[in-house]
Amino acid sequence: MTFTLNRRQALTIGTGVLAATTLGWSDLPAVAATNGFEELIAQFAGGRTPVQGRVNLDLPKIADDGASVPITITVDSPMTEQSHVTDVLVVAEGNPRPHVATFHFSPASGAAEVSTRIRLGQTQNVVAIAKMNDGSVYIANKQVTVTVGGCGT
Amino acid sequence: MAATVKVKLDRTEAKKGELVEVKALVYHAMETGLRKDKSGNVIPRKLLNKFICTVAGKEVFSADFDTAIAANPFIRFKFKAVESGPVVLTWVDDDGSTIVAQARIAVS
Repeated sequence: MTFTLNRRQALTIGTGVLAATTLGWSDLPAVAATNGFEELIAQFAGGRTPVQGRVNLDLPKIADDGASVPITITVDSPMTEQSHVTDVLVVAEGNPRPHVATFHFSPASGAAEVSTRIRLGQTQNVVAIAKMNDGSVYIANKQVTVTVGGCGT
Repeated sequence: MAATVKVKLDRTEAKKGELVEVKALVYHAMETGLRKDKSGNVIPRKLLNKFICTVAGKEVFSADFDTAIAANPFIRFKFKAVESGPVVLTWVDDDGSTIVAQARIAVS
């Protein structure tokens, strides 16, 4: 029996594999995310494929209070007029609303570095995506185990 | 309820080109609109959705906050010392009100 894919099916599988490979997952997510995090990342990346690297995402492996999880993002960049980070998007894949924050940098920032505290509703993957002035996009992700969810009751 | 803001620069004087670190903490519930009260009614969203820092009138850093920023938002970032002047931190609430804090940097 021949199994043929139509163009749309092939494209969907291809994009999924690309996303999984890019984001460093070995398995595709079992449950289709309905919070729209993939679209959020794709929109931010503006058609570019995010490359792993240059983004250092600091998060605890285990967060005992999901209501306040410390996070630090540092992007390797000279922050000169010629080469600098313009924006960093932070996404919580497993939250009701995946958009955590978008940080805006310029050469005046001196360094593409920011720390804050975030809410995580459950154990999940957190992603940081950095966009450069030349349009290139870099990505890092970290899995955080959340013992007490932080989205409130 | 009066909002309290705490701002700390790692230095008040810097040489041109050096990096200055800013830490700020603002007391705000950052209500997500996802919580319900005891009667089952949704507590309306009311959070600080924008943060801007300017030094001597020029923006050095800004951020868009969403529901996943923790209550009493803390932020730490840096700016490059270029000219002396006020360091103004502004947070914008969903309702349009703002919380403003100010420090000063002297650049030589």
